[in-house]
Amino acid sequence: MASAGSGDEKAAAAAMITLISSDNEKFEVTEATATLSQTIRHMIEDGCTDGGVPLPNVTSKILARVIEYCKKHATAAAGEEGSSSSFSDAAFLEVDRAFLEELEEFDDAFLEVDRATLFDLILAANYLDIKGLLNLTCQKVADSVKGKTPEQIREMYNIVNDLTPEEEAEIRRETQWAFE
Amino acid sequence: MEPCGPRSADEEAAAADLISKLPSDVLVSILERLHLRDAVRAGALSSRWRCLPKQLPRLSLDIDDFLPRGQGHFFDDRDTGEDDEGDDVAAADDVLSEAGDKMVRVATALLASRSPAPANAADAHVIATLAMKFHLRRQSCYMSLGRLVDDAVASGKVCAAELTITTKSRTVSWSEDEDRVRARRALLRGYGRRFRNLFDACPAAFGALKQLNIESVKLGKHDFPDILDTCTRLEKLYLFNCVPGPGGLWQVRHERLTDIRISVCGIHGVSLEWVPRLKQFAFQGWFSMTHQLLSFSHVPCLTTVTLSHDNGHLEETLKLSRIMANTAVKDIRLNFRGNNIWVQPESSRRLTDLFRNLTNLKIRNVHHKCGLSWTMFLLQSAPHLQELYIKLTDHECGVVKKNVPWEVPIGFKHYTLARITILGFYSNEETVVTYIRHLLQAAINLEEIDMRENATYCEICGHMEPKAGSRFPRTDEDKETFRKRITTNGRSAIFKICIRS
Repeated sequence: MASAGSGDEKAAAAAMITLISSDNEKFEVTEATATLSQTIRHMIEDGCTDGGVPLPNVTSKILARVIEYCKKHATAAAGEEGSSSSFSDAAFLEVDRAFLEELEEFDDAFLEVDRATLFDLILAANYLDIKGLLNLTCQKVADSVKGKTPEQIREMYNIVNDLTPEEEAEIRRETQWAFE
Repeated sequence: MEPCGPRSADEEAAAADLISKLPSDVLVSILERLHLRDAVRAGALSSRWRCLPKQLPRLSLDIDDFLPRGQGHFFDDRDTGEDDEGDDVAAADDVLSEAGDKMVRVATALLASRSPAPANAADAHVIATLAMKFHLRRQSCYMSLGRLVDDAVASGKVCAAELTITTKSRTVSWSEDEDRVRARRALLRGYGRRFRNLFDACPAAFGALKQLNIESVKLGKHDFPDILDTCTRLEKLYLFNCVPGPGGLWQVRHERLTDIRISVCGIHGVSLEWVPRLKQFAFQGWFSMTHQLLSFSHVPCLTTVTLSHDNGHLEETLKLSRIMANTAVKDIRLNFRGNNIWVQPESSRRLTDLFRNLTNLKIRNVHHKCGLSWTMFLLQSAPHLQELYIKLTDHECGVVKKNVPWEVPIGFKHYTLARITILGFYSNEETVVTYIRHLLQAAINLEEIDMRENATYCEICGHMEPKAGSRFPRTDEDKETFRKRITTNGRSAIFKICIRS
C-alpha cells in the first residue's frame, strides 16, 4: 500500500482497521473510512484497536452498509459534511453543486431500504456516532412524517395511541397553535 | 407534568411499532429535523412520544414558515421589470405583518409552556437554544419577537439564542441608476435604525446570542463595535449586504467568535486583531482593493480562509503574503468569479512560511483568458499541499480578462500533492492539457486526478454555462486520447485518472 510513499502521513493514510460485527464477520477498512465514526476515532486515539474493533450492536448486514456510506463520504469533498444541506453554506465554503449533487444521488440510492433496515442504520449511526449518517437517516424519517397529522403518522408507523381521550385533549390544548 | 408512562399492554401487542422502540435521543433527533409545528404535534402520538417535544434542545422559529408558499418575494421596492410577480410593496407588507403576528403568537405560546430552570435543575425544560428568523418590517412584530427572546433569556427559560435578522431588501447594484441606488440606500438606513432600536431594547437577548446573522441593513458607525461588545457569547457572525458607515473599517476583538462571514458589505477592510478562537473566516465581495483590506493579528486557531471577489475590469491585485500575514491556515478557498485575477503571483519566503500548514487549496471560477499557469505560484509556496481543486469557467458574462503570466522554475517538484480535482473545461483544450502536464510533472507523489465536466448554471450571471462544448472528453475513445495527451512520460500507471462527464 504505502510502498511508493514514505513518511508518517502516508503510513497513517494507509493504516487499516478491522471491524468485527455482532455475528463475528470481519471488515477491513482504512482509518480514514473508520474515523467517520467518532466512537471508533476515540478508540483509535486510545490505542485500543489492535486485534480488531468488536461492534456487538451491529450486524454484518448493517455494518456492510455503514462502511459503504463511510467509504463514499470519506473520499467525497472531505470536511464539507453537514454543511451540504444548505446551498448558502455551500456558497460560503465555495462548494460546487456538482459535488453535492453526486453525493446526494449516492445518499438517495443508499436510503432505498426497508423500514427495519432504516431503523437499524439509525441505531448503528447513533452507536458509532457518525454524524452525517445519523443526519441522513433521521432526515429520511422526518421527511416521511412532515406535514402529517398524528392520525396519519400513527397509521403509517403502526403507533398505538395509548393516550386517554382526556390526555390527548390536554396535549392538544397545551400546544393548540401547532394544530391550527 | 406526567412522566412518560410505563408501557401498556396495547403497546406490547403492537409488535410492528418499530419506530417507538428507538431510543428517546434518536427520536428527538428525528423531531429536530422537522418544523417546530410538526415536532410539537408528534407529542400527541402516544404516551411514548408525549414527553419528546419538550426534550428538543433547539427550538427554531422562522418567519418563512409562516408565510404563504410561493407568493412573491415580498421585496420592499418595485423591481426594474422582469420577473415581477406580486411585487406590490404594500401588499407584501401586509402579508409579512400577518406572518409576523402569527409567529409572535406561536412564540408566546411556546415560551409560556416552558418553565424557567428551577434550583434543582433535574426536571427543567429549559430551552438550550432558541433560534429565530424575522424581518425588520413592521415594528410591532420584530420588537415583540425581540422582547420575547429578551424576557425568555432574562427569566432563565432560554440558555442561548440565535437570531437571523433580515429585510427582504435587494442588494444595491452599482450599475443601477442613481435614483434607485439612493432609494435603496435610504431603505437600508431605515433598517439600520430599526436594528439599532431592537438591539438597544433587547440587551439580554443579544447578550445570549451564539449566532447572529444580519442581512441587508445599513449598520451605523457604532453598531459593529457595539455588537461585538454586547454579544459576548457570540460564536458565529454572518453579515450579508450590511453596508457600514463611511470609511467602514471593521476591527474585531472578540473572545468567543469561531466563524465570521462577511459578504457584499461594502467595507474598506477588516482587521482581525484579537480573535483567539476564530476557526473560519470568509470574506466575499469587497469595496476597494488596498492592503488595508484584510489583516490578522492574533488568530491562533484559524484554519480556513475563504476569499471571493469579482474584480470586474479592474486589474488591481493583492499580495497574499501581506493580507495573510500572521496566519498559518490549512485550507484556502479563492473565488475569482470569472473575472480578472486579484491575487498577485509571488514567490517569497514569507508566503511559504504563511503556507506552512496549507494542505487544501481551492481555486474557483478561473476564466480561460486569465490562463492557469499563475496558479503554480500557490503550489510552489505550499510545500505540504495535499489537495488541489480548480474550477474553470469559459463563460463570457464578465468583462476584460487579463492573462496572468508566471514562469515555473524548470524541474519544480511537489512532494505531497496527492489529489487534483478539476471541474469544468476550456474550449481552448490546449490550455488545460498544458496545465495538467505541468501539474503531473511536478506532483511526483500524485495518487489521483479527477476531471469533471461542469454542466451547470454560471455562478456569476445565472445563465447556463456552455458545456465546454464537445471539447470535454466524453466518449471512452476521447477519454483515452486525452489520458495519453496529459501523461507524456508513462506515469499514468502510478496514479488514477478519473474523467467524468
